[in-house]
Amino acid sequence: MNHVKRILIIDDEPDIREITKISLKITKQWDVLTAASGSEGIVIAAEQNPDAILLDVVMPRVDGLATLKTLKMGPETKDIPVLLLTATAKLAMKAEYLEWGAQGILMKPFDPGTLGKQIEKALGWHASKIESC
Amino acid sequence: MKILLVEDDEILVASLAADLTSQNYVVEVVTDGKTGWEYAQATQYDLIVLDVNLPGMNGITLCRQLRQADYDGPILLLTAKGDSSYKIEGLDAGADDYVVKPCPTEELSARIRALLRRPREIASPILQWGLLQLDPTTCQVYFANNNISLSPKEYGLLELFLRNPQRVFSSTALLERLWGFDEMPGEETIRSHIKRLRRKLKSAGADEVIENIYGMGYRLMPAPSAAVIAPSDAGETSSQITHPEAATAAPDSVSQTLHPLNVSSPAEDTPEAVETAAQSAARSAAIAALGQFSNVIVERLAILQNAAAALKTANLSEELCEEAQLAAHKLVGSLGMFGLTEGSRLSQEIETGLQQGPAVVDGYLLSAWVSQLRQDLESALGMTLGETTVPAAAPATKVPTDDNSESAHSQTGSLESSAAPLPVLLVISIDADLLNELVVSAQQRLQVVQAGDLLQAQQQLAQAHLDALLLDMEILSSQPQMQQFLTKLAKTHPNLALLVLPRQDTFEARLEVARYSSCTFLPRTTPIPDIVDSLLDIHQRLCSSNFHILVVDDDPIILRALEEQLPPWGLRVTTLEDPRYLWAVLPQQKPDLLMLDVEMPHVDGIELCRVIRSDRQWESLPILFLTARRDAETVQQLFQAGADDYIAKPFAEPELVTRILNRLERQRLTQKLAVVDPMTGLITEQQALRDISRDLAIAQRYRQPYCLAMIVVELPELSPAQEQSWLDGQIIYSLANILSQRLRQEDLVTQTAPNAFLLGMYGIHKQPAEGRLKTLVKELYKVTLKALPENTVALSFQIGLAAAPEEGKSISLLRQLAEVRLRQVVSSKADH
Repeated sequence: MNHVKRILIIDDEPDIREITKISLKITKQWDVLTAASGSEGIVIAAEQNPDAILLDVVMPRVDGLATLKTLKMGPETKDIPVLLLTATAKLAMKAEYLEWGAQGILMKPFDPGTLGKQIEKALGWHASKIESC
Repeated sequence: MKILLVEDDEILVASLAADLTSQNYVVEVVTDGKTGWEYAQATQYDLIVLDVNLPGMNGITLCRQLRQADYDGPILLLTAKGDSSYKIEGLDAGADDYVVKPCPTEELSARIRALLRRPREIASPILQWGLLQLDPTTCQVYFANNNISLSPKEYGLLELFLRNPQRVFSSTALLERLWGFDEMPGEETIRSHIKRLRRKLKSAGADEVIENIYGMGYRLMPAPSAAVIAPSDAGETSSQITHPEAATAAPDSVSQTLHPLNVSSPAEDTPEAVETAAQSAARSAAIAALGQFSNVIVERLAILQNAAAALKTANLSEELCEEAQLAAHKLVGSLGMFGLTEGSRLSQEIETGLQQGPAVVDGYLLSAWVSQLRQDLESALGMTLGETTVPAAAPATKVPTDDNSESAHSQTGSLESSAAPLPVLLVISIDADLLNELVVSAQQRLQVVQAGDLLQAQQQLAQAHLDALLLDMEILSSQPQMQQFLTKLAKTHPNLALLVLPRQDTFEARLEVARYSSCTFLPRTTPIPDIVDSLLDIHQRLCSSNFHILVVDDDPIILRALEEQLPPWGLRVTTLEDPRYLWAVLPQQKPDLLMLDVEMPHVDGIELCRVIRSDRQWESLPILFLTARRDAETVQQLFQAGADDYIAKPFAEPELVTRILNRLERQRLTQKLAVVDPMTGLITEQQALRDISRDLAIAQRYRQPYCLAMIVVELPELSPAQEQSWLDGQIIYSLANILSQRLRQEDLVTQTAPNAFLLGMYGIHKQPAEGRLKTLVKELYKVTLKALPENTVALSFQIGLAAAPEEGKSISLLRQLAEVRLRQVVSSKADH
């Protein structure tokens, strides 16, 4: 945990992007890259090689699943862990995402206070010494 | 609550101070202006009472000076002179209210209470924290059913915390606010008072109400609430991510968040504390960011509203349905993060509903959900959507605005009260004594009308303009009936001063009523004159604080400035940065006045103004321009486009406020009644009659025929369920909708009784008019039949028609003719 982590959030909703940025900056001092669409996200992921990607499932045009597939097939991006953001909790869908290599799924709405923790937990990153309550 | 009295009349001061002290206010008295000024500089008062004639410095000068020094609490002026120039001068100097001496101490202290009440309390004067309730009017504190007896200081502490849910109070701040100069005790006194208060609360069952913030002070704990943000199927997702901490740490309301000041000075240095502080700071920051996105939220709500409207008329295209699903989906996510759990849940329901399609969800249900969502959001945020001020973002050093923001704009109220007609009070009761006493007591202050049951009340509400309503719960037979009535009332008549007299004054009864509407609850034993006073009080506040201003400007700095400057004048501000959304926002916001920037990207203000002026619904909306250009050509263009006034940028606040208030006052005089009936979306009867008279005159001048028609729906055998559904307004709404859609642009329609419509048709002779009416009525009939349960009901439509000029030239004659000619055109009996 020595270098400052960089997280890419791909979401078409400006408020979600902003909150993610605020949340991770304040709680974890991570840098947050933002992309407003799947296609933009794929480009940024390839160029910037972030430590993890948060990917919204429901987006216009290129949706989350398509983006995930593209990311996982791209040589530069296939190893970046991806967490999906979704407000719907349909099991069938989840299985499909996990099959395509998503590391986990975060439920929307998330708590800006603990989003960083959730990401660490989902990705098995060594969290801070204090265990969650 | 701390009050400063600056008054040299010792007798008045003594009795007023005693009265206020008995209501647990901390009162300090000074007898000259100069000392008053020094006191006001030295400490923070929640309200200042100033005599106009003071030795040293007169009250008006002092008032002006206080305002210049940024004192933003309410100021009440007292004078022996009833001279209106003093009154205006005083109000102009920044006073919020004005009382002419001599006046009874009770009235004075009632005015003071009114000024101290914040706008939020208009909705519910009772401060609530979980099951704990504090009623400022009676100074009683309850937990569940039990009265908790508190000392004045303990009461003061609790009130302060409940009124400022997010604020951390240091011991010094508490001392300053609740103790007078001469009794300034040490900090240990605060500790022991807090300790005693906690003990009393705990023994009543309210544990952990106030928390210690180490090294900083005390704060109200988040209210206990069951809301939890966690996936509903967390169990099934065990292979992925579960976040147990979300259940305990998730903010479930705005008020739960820590103040951002924790970031700069964390309470303790332990990593735990730092982490908690960071989490809280992140949540606060998220909530503070909500303001930036209120436009996004308004936009999403607008889509949902459109979908609901389309679904109502079975016109919901697949495209719009998908768009609405997406909007709801997005709201689920973002509202939850802003801590608005309830809004998030409701959005989820809307999304699911839309996915299931029109077979499961109809337009009315969806529309109800959407308006519920809007209301929830507005109440959770304490603002009208579109506003960008967020309570949590208030800087820590500022006087908590919630104590002062109302600054009570009894100003406008008191200004107009001299000229305005008497407010109309509807009493729903069969208690003859109550009624008689009310009529006597309300003489020359309220006009009293009576309804014996809810059905009659509905009719009165639909027909007449009412200002206040007194509901005697004795007449209600069932809980759901009351619930429905109150819920609906809150929607159709949001500005009605509502008072409820319960059967018994219990906590449950209060809770029940408070749940469905924003009304004031008075025990049955309340003396009648007090009931009248309360009604007038609520009415006055409602009509002075309901001015709503929509500002469209691409410059966020201007928007922010207006958001700060206007609310203290009782003006509710909604801002919009992107002019392209105006058309979507306008019908939802229904502003009383629109402020437009001239030069904006995409659409300029002048174009917008023209569009608005060409729409029937908005043609009379006052429009004020903000412009940096003062050249004659621009100004001329503005007025040509239909502007009512313009203000040059940069503007001075007093000028701006004066212009706005002038405009609104004038608007109110020229148009005392709303043009559009919120129930039906049709223009009101009064407005329609005016318009029809005008059209009749035009028709006569151009030798055109004009027809006036009545359409009456008859439901002779109503079962209670059908009656409910009728009263629900759904049928009326859809009928009104069809009528307004099918009519030509030059026609007019309005609702004249719960089951009757009046139509004016220009340029059409009697025979073709009759043909058109018959077709129209057949369509109405189909819709009504569908909306009623089964086809069991005997349903009929009647029409009556009169034609000008051959049968009469005046509107009253034509209307009478149409009424006497009413005859059945379709009925269910005929069909079966």
